[in-house]
Amino acid sequence: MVRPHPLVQHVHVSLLGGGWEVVLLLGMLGAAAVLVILLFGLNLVHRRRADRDLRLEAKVADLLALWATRRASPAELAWLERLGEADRRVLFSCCLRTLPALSDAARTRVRGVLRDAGLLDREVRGLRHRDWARRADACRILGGIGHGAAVPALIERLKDPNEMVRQHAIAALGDLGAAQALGAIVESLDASAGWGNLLAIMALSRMGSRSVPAVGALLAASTSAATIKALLQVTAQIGSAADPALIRALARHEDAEVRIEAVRTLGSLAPDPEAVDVCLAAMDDQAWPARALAARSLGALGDARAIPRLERAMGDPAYWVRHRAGEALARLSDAGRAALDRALGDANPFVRDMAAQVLFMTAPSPEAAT
Amino acid sequence: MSALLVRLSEEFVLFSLLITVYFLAINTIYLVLLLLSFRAVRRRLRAIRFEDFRHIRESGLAPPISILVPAYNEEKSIVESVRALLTLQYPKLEVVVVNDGSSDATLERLIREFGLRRTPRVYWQRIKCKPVRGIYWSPEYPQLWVLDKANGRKADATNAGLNLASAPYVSVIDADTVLEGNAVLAMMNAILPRPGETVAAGGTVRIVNGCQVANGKVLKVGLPKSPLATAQALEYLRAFLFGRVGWSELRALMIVSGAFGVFRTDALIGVGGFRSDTVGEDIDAIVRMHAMLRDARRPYRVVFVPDPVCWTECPETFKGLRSQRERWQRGLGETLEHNRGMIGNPRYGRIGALALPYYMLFEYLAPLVEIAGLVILPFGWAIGLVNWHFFLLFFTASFVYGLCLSLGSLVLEEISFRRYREPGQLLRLLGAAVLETFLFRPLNVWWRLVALLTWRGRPQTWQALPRKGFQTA
Repeated sequence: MVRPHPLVQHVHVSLLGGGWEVVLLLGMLGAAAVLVILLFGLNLVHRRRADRDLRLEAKVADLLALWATRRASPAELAWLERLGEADRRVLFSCCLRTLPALSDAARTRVRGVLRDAGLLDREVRGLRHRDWARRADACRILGGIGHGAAVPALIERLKDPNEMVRQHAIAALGDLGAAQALGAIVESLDASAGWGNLLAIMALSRMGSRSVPAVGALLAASTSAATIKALLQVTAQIGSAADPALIRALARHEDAEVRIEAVRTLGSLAPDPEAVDVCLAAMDDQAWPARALAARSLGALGDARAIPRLERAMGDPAYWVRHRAGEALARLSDAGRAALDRALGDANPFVRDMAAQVLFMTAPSPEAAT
Repeated sequence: MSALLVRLSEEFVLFSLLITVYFLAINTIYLVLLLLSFRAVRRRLRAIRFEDFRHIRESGLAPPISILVPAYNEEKSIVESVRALLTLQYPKLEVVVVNDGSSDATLERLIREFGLRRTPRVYWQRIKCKPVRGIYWSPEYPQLWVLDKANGRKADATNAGLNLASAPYVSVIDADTVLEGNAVLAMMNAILPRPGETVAAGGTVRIVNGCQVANGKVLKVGLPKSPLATAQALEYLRAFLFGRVGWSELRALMIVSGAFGVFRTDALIGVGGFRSDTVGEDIDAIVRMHAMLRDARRPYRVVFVPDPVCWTECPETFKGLRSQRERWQRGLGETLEHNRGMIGNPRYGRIGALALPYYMLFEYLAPLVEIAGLVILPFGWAIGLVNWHFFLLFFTASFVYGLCLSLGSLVLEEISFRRYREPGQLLRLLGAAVLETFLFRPLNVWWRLVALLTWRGRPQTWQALPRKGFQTA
């Protein structure tokens, strides 16, 4: 047996001398035991909760079916008033799932029950809760249930310090079709980016033709390329513009992103010979996405004047311009398809390949495709 | 002789101290990741509570996404997987299956099941790949494309799919996986708040063995019968729920799993797609994205979203598992080698200074340290340097600590996504946590060590895991 080096002896003595190792091990075992108890305890609570929620959901589904046809009884109202926070979440989840499938009259009746029970007022108060998650949830519920009286409170939330709350407020106002919120939502287009911006666009789009004048006015006044782009997207979604001439002018904007969005929008508006001219001019744009979207819009506008230019675009160096030009030709009735047939014999293999692809993809039946 | 032994004993003490420091460091990192994960998951749960995918579904403004499915000899599960993909809830979705020169009936099964026809489709070849033999499409499933190409391994197949993809986002998933219905919606919902910045996002991968699958959907979540696969179910839970979440929270996420990830198409093409000369193409692509965007000083983020789930088949045999682990080890080694200039380089932020050194020291070299410890300990005992008391303490402490980490991830799962709801399932996972130290972990360490020492001279191949196919209802 070798006598250990003094350093080894020192390490062993200091490591094993104080009995701390027992404490450490017991501590770790204790932590493991606590975690096991926590795991199974939580599992038990969650399973009970899930069972309870299932029963509650079934009861709420039955009640919603009744409230769609009649007013709530005093006993039912009393039950609703007694619901705790977690049960109210279950109730509203059921409502949000069920309401879209109901008729307008039935939805109004169900809303009336929830209002009579004081639940909607409680949610309006929830819009000022100190917890942002509670505020965002209140926005979602009020928008989904369609509680029009909440519009002023929801407009206030557009200035909420929390981004999620602002986004849910925009979405809720869109759900409610709140024309009085148009200005505030349009303003939020400037302030928000990404998802918030998308939600604002969607909210405005949902308001349909009601938002056309406000969007048009702002489009005329805006100088920010990002805002103009967003407003053009709204216009394209609605399919109607307050001033089509402005959209045509924007197709010549100095910012490529704006031009791209404008030519895309022209394709979603009512067919207009002047729009065709603008799109034909955009086929010479330096930015290939603008050329590609101009080709798509020409297909949507359905004017046969575009055929020669689209035929030339089948030889464009950019893949997506060739692709969109081919698709546009396929939409332009027999003359367009004849152009595609001619392209099959083109000297340029890119033109031939794209023509073959488009003819295959747009064939009226699989048999015709082969 | 005595002088030699004294000298050896000095070396031994130094080595023991190094092992102890290594042990403390790795476990501290795990603890930090676990705590960060609790915070991140709690925040995510609050957001999920009122998440409303209706806006993406109905808007018409949701960006399109192309799902790329590289497939090699996947005849057993490919049809089920594709069916599941075609029913995914997302408004603008195309599925691009790439048959990478399979020697089985993968292509024939797809053609038969989906009524595919060869098309004259042309596409923009932005990344070079092996020759394409044909592109198939069916008017019945207009969003499905099948590309048949010469064999070139997974990265090459994914690049071919990337060329064909027409959407600004691509999701790369394995052919033997089943995505949950709202997985893409949930992923895009996490990307869309910052669409300009988010270049890649990873979702959670779980083990499908033992689950009941029908029509490409997981009907009932179960655990595999095999203890080896159950240990992997626990391992995946740990890796995704606290590993990836923790690294994402540190803004140093280096892995977006090849089994399920979403990428911005332009960012992926910007780095030249996936490298064909590595088997760790997923991790390598993310590291190169970090490098490219850091070099360009562009704001960006790579995120992990824990709630979208993809179910994948894990190997149930030792042979299959060994092959998989050797590939993972090799993939990590190749990535570290290809990107060695970034390791410890503060210019690459937390990726260079934190994540890459971690993966090198505590993942890639870990088998070497662990095996060295196992070899040295008997030696120390033989020459009287190891007190059995000390050995027992060390072993028990590392065992209980590992158990606590596994329990922590099980608790995290219980308070968050609760896919394993039955107490019996939790009990089995708990059993796996106890037993893995004695069987799964030593084997895993050994296979990784062998791969670490031998991968340089060996050819790269597709991961040929024996597939059982899904358990149907």
